[in-house]
Amino acid sequence: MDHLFLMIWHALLVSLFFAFLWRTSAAGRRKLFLKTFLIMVVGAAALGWLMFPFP
Amino acid sequence: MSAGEGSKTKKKKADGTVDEGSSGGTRRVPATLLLGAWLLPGLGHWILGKKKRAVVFAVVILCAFTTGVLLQGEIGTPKPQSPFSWLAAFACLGNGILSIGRLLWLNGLGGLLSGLPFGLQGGGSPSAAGFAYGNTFLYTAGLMNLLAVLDVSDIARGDKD
Repeated sequence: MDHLFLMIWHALLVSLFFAFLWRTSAAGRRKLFLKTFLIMVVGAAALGWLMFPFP
Repeated sequence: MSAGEGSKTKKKKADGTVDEGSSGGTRRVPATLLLGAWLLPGLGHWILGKKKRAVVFAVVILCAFTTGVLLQGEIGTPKPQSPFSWLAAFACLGNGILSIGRLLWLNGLGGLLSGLPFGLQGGGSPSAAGFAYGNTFLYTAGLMNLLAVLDVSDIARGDKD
C-alpha cells in the first residue's frame, strides 16, 4: 500500500468534486482544482517535513 | 408587508437599488428529488439538467467509495457506548444506495432489519493496513454526496446555477 499514492488519489477526488461544486465555468473549475489539489498535496508533504524533527 | 417579504434579506446598495440577498429562492424542492439525489449520487443534478456535474459527482463518489471498500474500510454503524460511531454512520449513510447495498451484502436483508441500530456488521478489517485510509475514503464519499444533495436543493430553489 502506497501512502503517497493514496494521499494524492484522495486529494484528486476531493479537488475535482469541489471544483465542480463551487465553480461553473471551465476556467474557474481548472483554477480551483489546481489550487486545492496543490494545497493539499504540497501542504501535506511540507507538514510532514516540518514534523520530521519532532518525536 | 406581504408574507414573503419577511423571509428575505433585503439590503439597500450604494446606488439605491435593492439587493434581494442570497436567500432569494422561494420555490419548494420536491422531497423525491432530494431523496433520489441522496440514493443515487449524481441523479439529482442529472434530473435538473446539470449532466456534466452529475457524471463527475457520480464518478468521484463511486471511486472514493470503491477505494474505501478495497482498502478494507468499515461502513460506519452505530455502536453502543460510542457516540462518535453515530457520526461515522451518518457520514457513511450519505453514500445512499452504495452504503445500503454494502450493508445488505454484509448483513443480508434479515440481518439488516433485525440488526438495527447496534447489531449491524460494517465489514472491513481493523488489522488491515488500509483500514483507517479506507474509512476516510468512505466518510469522504458520503459527505461529498450529502454536499451534492444540498447543491441540488440550492439549484432547484433557484439560488444557484
